[in-house]
Amino acid sequence: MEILKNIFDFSGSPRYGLFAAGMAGLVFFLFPILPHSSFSMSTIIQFFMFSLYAMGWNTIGGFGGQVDLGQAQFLGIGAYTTAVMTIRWNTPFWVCLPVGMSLAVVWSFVIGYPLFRLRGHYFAITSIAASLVLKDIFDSWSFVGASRGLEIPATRYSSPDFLHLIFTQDTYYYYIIFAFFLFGFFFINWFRRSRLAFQLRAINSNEEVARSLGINAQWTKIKTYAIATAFVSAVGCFHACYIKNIETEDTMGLDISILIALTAMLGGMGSLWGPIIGAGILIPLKSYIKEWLGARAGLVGLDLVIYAAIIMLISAFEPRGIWGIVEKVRRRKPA
Amino acid sequence: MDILKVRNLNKNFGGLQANRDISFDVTEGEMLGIIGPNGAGKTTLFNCIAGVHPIDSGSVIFRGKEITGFKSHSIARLGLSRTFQVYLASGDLTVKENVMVGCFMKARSRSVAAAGADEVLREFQIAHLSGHFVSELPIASQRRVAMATALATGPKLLLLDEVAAGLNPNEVEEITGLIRHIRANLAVTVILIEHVMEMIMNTCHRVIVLDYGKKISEGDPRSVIKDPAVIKAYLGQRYARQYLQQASK
Repeated sequence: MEILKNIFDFSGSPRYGLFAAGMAGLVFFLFPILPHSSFSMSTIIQFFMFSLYAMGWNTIGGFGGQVDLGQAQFLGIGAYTTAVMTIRWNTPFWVCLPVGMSLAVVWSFVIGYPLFRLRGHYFAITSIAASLVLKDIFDSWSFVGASRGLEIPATRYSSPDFLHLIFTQDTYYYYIIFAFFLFGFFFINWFRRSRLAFQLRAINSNEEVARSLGINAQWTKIKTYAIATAFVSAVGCFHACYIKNIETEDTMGLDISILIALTAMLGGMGSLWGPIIGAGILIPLKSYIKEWLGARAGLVGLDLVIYAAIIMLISAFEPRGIWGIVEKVRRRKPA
Repeated sequence: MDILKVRNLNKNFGGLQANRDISFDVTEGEMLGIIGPNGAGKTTLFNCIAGVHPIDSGSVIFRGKEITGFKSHSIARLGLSRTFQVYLASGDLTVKENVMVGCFMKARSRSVAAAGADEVLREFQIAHLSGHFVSELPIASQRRVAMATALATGPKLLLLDEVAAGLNPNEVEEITGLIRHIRANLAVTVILIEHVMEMIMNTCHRVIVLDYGKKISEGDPRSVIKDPAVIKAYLGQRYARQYLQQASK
């Protein structure tokens, strides 16, 4: 049972870090029964969602070094599949989830094949373009509500409806996305020591050398892209039931793609904890800025300024993000 | 038995004829040296054999199988491995992880790859470096890691591109011993590109000399360094005499 062993093997992480993570996990588990505001509840749900997006992005972007700025399209495919199926055919969420993920993964293969013939900046630019083209198609496609979007009629279901994932209380959503989060987390803990992750890191460090070691770089990237897509689209499906109001701007916009990539970059690319750390910083920041900007309409776009500043700081000082700093400190004083 | 046959290989980069009509055979278990002045097309020849560059005409036959036009990863899986002249070491992979990437070509699970890597690291006497990042190591150790990684894929034929460049005489001697050891103990055929003539003279059974993309001489090392064409193109009178003296000692 080597796989089982690898899933729960945290030998690379510092002990105090694991302790802190365990405590944080316990707090998160108990959070809904502690006194809290609905604002902090929705912020933590967003935190879990963006941790998962960033974990997915981190496989191809962090381990593989392929800076993809089009992840929002897969979020959109997941969200729209769930919304369309729920509204039109009253399909249970647990059916929408695999269908949405499969459609997104199929789409990732379709665009991955041409996309991964490009490298570096060209890859990043093309990934943005692919995502925006799909967004424009959805914006004018009446089957998915065109620019008006879709709304899941929550009143049709009596809460709590675990089959269709329609609740009036956020607590249910909280525990479901928490379960997704734990699943994703342990998956990445297995993934980071897998053959695929080693091959990706080899490609990231030097693609020509990687090829000479028998690694089919193109196929390895496409496979990983499918994993990233599965993460993002699964949370996209959840997004549809949680937000209920699906619009292209909220699900497929460029700013979402950038925020997903930025979360992983800030926390630390190619690490287990990076995406979580990144989401822990960026999502509360995003929520508070949004609250604050609600009163000051003239400052719309300030969040983009802050993201841009963070990108510049990361690339100038520590390309491996916050986790890179932690690793550096740990290496300096060997235990 | 011939492990590699190269027939009338041609490679042009625009107007530059990097390889012109090159043909040679490599016998299994042999150690073949490729020498020639800078820009003679030695590394291009490696890249053409290993599938990095598509060749313009000619054919490459590896272990009886035509591999012309194969992608480099497929050729690697058939058992042809190589090192790179400029080894761009990654800051993110440790020595052991690097070697594990090589092992992962055949190994499916991490424990198998890790065990294989430990064995190769011991073979190369760099087990004590396994936790270091490759970029932190001195150049001689980096070369060992590069060779260890290439060998971890379990090749039948190993192409070494200037593994002794920039090393001091002691390190050259060590790496020469290592290459001999690989060939003798691991049943690997070796082709090496080298400017360090001592290494060629001490290890190779046969030498091919390239100049302006063409093969100008071929034979055992002692006769090749007497070849007037080689002396003119590459060695120069003084060095040729020096090597001849060394060889006759």
